[in-house]
Amino acid sequence: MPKVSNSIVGKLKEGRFATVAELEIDSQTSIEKLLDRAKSLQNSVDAVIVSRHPRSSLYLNNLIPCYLMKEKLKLEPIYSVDGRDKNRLGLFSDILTAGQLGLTNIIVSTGSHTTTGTYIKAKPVFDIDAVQLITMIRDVKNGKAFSGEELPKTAGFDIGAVIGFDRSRPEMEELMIKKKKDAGASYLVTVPIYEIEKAKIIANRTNKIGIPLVVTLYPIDSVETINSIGNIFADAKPPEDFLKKIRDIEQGSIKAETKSKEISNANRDLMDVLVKELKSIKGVSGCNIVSTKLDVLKAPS
Amino acid sequence: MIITVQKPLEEIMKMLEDYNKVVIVGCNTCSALCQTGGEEEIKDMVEKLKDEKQILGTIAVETPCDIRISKRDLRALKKQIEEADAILAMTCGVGVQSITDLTQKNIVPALDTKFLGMVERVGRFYERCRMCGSCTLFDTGGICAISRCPKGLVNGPCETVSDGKCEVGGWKNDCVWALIWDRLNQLGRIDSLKKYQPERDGSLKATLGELVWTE
Repeated sequence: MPKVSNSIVGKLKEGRFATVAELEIDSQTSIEKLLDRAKSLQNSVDAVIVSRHPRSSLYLNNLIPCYLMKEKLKLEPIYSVDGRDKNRLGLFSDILTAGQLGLTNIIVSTGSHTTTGTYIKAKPVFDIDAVQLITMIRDVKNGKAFSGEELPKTAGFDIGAVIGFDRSRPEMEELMIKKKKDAGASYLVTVPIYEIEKAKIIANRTNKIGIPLVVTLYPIDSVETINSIGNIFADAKPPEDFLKKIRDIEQGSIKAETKSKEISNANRDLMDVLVKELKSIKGVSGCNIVSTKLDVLKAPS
Repeated sequence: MIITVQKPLEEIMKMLEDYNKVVIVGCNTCSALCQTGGEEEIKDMVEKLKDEKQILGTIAVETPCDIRISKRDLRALKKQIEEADAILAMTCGVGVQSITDLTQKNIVPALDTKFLGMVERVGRFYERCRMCGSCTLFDTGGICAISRCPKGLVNGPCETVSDGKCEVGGWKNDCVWALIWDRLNQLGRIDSLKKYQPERDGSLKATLGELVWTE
């Protein structure tokens, strides 16, 4: 009987649908609160991505939260790294340390530009790009530093990579998918999308190249998020009826606590519908649901 | 072309506040083209300062970045420079430092040096080179990713490109990698984008640039 893997990557490779939650730890979130939120997802998700300075805002460092999630909660963390804030020395140090801590699931992205975030005066680094970072991690996995030095044996890394969506030049997107796979990525995660058609297009590309795909969904927690979503994710078009529901709830005269629950419920309903559709798309191997300020959002099974 | 913009007058006046006697030095090449430090702009600056400062003399040096040319041209204002409390330099940063080296006077930069740019026409300047010291324009069909990709990627595009547009600026500007893709496609050289590009040499721009010919 073939061994059934418990790990996220194992699940993706075996063609079983994986559910991932992505947690953002802004400057207002304590590590304890983060772990509480992760704990509430324990029975609903296969792994948790802990993001790193999304949208160039002030965030806690994600290395320790990932470690604590693994040690205290026995949850599978996915450690997120990108090229925006550190040079190759800093990133190499992070990778090596993650390996020593047993954090073998890493997801790589380029990093959104500092000028698109809250602290636009911060200097962007981008010493190495996503493809180079994947290569660096792969080399560490094989016992080699980018300097050529031999390294002590380290735990094997499973590398995920973020991919975008550009309908104007499909071959260009396919080239990037292949480049990331050839560099060492074993699965890909999309930027947040709302339209199933987009997911189908991307899955068609990744399927052709032969790499599992996880689709990211981004719940909307407020009218403020609705108004800013176009500034964060290009071409992001949540369903109009859903947006109307969020506006109606927020602008209604019920208590704040009830509003929060109703907004969470509305998001959960949308996620349920989207995930059901995603499961039917060939090549989509999982979903990643970003947890923003919604405390009660549980990823659907 | 070195592209400059004038600092706000308030900022210039703040730097000049302790100085009364001023010599103004401009640039007849790049700053003149940018209309920030040529003859006309010097005249304009005199008008703005004359009620509060004593302007001892003005000159637009042909190329202040060439210290030999500055030395030759500034001879005409030797006495005024000696008497001046400060020199207001309407030049790029290289010109400012060349004048400083020559005169050893208090120097006030009137311009901000923005970038090395292509001139489409006067008033339309676009950054095209970051002087990285390791030109790879052949690989990208003559379109520079180092200067035109805000992230300076060499294995682009990144994940935020959408409909061929770049996230920086809110998806209004072209993603340079989309342009590179189109150009290499047109040239029949798309295969060069499939190659893995390794990390760039950070040491090239990490130290003070210097190029001295030896025998």
